[in-house]
Amino acid sequence: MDFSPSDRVAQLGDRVRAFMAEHVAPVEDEAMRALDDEVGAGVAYPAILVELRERARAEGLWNLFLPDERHGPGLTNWEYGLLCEEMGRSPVAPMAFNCAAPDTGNMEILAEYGTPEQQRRWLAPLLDDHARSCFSMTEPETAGSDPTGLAARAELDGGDWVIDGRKWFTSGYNGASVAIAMVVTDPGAAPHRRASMILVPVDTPGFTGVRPLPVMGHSAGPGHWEVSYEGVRVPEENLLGARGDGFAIAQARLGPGRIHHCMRAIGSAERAFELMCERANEREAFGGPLAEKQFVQEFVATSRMEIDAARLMVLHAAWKMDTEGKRAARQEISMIKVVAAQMHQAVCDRAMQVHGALGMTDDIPLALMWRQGRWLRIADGPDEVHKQSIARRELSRFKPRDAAEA
Amino acid sequence: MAELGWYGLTIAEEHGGSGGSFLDAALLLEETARGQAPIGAYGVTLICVGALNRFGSDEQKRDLLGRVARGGALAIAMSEADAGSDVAALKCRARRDGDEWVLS
Repeated sequence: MDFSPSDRVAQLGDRVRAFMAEHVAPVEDEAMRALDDEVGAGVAYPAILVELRERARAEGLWNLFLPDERHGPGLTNWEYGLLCEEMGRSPVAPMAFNCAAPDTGNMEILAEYGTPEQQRRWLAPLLDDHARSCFSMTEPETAGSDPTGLAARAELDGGDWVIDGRKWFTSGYNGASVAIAMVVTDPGAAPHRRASMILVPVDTPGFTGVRPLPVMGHSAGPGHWEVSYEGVRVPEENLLGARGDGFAIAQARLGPGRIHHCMRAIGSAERAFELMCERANEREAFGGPLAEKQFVQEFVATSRMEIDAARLMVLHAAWKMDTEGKRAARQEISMIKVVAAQMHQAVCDRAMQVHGALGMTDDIPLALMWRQGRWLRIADGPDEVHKQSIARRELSRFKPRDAAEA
Repeated sequence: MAELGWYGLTIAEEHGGSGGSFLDAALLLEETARGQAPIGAYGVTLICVGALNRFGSDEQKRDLLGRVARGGALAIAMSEADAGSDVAALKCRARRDGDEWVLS
């Protein structure tokens, strides 16, 4: 394990950092407002983000997440992870560099499992243009963490898939051009073979947005939508990957995505940490700067230890994925998902506390960062589901030999 | 709420209140919070009423407490951008000018 970044990543990191300071930071607030105000049917990105994206694409800071060299620079998970930390410092940066979820995961699976025609029609506009997509798996009536229980159905009828069901937390639905829907095609099959992925253009008749879910006081922009499928017909060839592969593709989609989320969380936590330390040094109360209060020093020391510990764990998981494969790194990926999300929330929370009432306002980005961080403790599997997997894997190592084989 | 005597719960009856105690107010706050009643300003008003009860002149009590008992709310302006918990460090000044206070 070598923790020094490769030359190309050191160089890319400098360029991403410079781009963010020069072009993203000055318009961050404006871009966040524009996302809420302008995004809608047929409008994937507001004008100000399109402008940022054009510039990033022209500078070659584009699609950095794709390990597939046909479509991007072909960075390893460990290399791209270092860049994610930079991008995670701003909630709009991932979109500026075309590295935002859920498009990244969707592009990955389209690149890996899509037919040439699917790639031409759906992947190309996501890779090269300003289109967005959404991922439609979670349902209101079945447990999100257990996709073997999905209920939304697709049946073949005269060369078409006919889809019926209700989904929610179809994130980014507003303004997206296509959804990747995970639906049950084979109800009688084994639990992990029941579902498939199907590409559904958002303007297909019967596919409607029911409502943007109000998430901690916010429902505008790309949003997290409840959507309904009523007799939605798409051609048979819109099946992504093989029939029954839905679960396997969903799993493949999540591994790299977790590295990305976690490294962005670390970048975001670093920004919160900086705001906290600056505030502690500047703010005077009870005869001296907050930085001299031991409670505040405890916040600073604990936050630094937690951030650095999380970073080492995430980079280690990325390295293991790169050297031994996704499957070998399962345990590490589960662990970082819990550690990074909890660390991020704790650091943002302390930074808000040091800012006092100002920390509750939207004059500074901490409240937004906290909300997004809270989300991360549930998105892509709640802490508890990951801990359950971690514990089971550990316990199985200590089972008596014949019991383990049984 | 004013008709039920809740607004004036901790205000003396001579000023139009119900003459209740802090315990009465605590019970009311617990029950209304349980029902998520949208009366966030009530807690702050209660603090102002406490200050007026203790330090207010008869004229202030008659006027302000009477208004609260009829359903009015009071606000506190204390926190400043540069001082919050450290109340001794407040900067906002009141200067006497003739028979008036000038705040800045």
